[in-house]
Amino acid sequence: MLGLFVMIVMIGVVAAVSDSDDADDMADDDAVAGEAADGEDPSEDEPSDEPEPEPEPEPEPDAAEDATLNGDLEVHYLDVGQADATLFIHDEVTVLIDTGDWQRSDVTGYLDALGVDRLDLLVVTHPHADHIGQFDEVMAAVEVDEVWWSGSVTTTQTFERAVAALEESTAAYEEPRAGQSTTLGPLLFEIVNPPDDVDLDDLHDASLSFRITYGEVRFLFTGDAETSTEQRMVDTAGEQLDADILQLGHHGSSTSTTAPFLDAVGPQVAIYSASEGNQYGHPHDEVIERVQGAEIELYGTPVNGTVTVTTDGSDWDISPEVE
Amino acid sequence: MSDDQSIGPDRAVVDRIVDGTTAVLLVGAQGTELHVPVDHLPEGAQDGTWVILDLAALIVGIDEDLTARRREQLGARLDQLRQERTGGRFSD
Repeated sequence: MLGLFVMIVMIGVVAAVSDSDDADDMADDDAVAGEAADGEDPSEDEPSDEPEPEPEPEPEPDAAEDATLNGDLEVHYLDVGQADATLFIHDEVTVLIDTGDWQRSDVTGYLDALGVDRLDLLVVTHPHADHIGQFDEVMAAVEVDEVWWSGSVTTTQTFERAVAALEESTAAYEEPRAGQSTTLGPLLFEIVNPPDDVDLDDLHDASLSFRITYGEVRFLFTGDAETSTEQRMVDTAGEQLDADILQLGHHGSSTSTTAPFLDAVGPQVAIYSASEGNQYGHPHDEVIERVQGAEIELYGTPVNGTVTVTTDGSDWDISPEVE
Repeated sequence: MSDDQSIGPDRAVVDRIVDGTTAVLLVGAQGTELHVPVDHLPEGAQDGTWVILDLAALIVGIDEDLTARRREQLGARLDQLRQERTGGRFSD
């Protein structure tokens, strides 16, 4: 309880301020922009003597410039031990990415403390017990409109409880794939993994990975995607990997955050989620050295507790629970 | 639906293999984890494989039937959700 109290007190406390780069032009902000564009219908009009007037060129949609952003977005990288849970809170939309560890019961406490009683979207990057761990508790505690999973199946009782919770709900269900994008309120989601032909039996390789953009500020999540998966994203996702704030993949393990991937993302801030003194040695030294060598601002839940990013869509403040 | 009542305390499931070296097994009855070197797993064990434990909580083999049954049942339930839950943001 003391941790929660401190976390709440720390919200709004500016610990560090960083300038952000200009974002790339955002994609069309239609509700859904699939990877395959509709083909143009061949014209069958009869030829006319009258010259066709030149159509007025339509301006390129540019959500980053055109969208009116109302208020701040808060992104809470929750301190949930050796697990992941990240909460996006905005006046118009609330999103949770991953649901903590199966042996703990702390995620719903954070939701309650932050006044969240409804999620527009609940994403689970993959069904390992340190990511889908408290899915059933979250579904029981708050109203959830839509759920995204990778589509991988496992046989654990933790996964079974998650499936049962989904069955008992009325939430929509999706398995997004690379190349798809959608908007949710002021947030643009661009999926960069897995591809359509992924082997779902490889749970890490199939980790849902995506960029979330608010205004000009871009957040990247890759679950537990490892070296070969990162390389595939580098090869296929291009500029959609560019991000300002990167959650280090696989809790800062050296299986992830490879040099080519980090170069492709080019973040100004990196945040990892792990437990203090975990037996895996996460985050690994070589990842920390790579991140710090690139002069990227680094935060981690074992050191900083919950890390909160607050942004107006152009600049951001970072408030760690512990300095 | 509740948990599979046929799973006894002498069963554990490989949840994940971390960094290629450590297998994390969930022991449902106790709500605990076993962490073992990956080369202590029976040959063929992977994510989702149920194993049989002896009294000292050492892995003595794979429960092929339990693994196959649960993979089929849970896969079928997820298939059903895919078909029924339309109206999401990527629906046609």
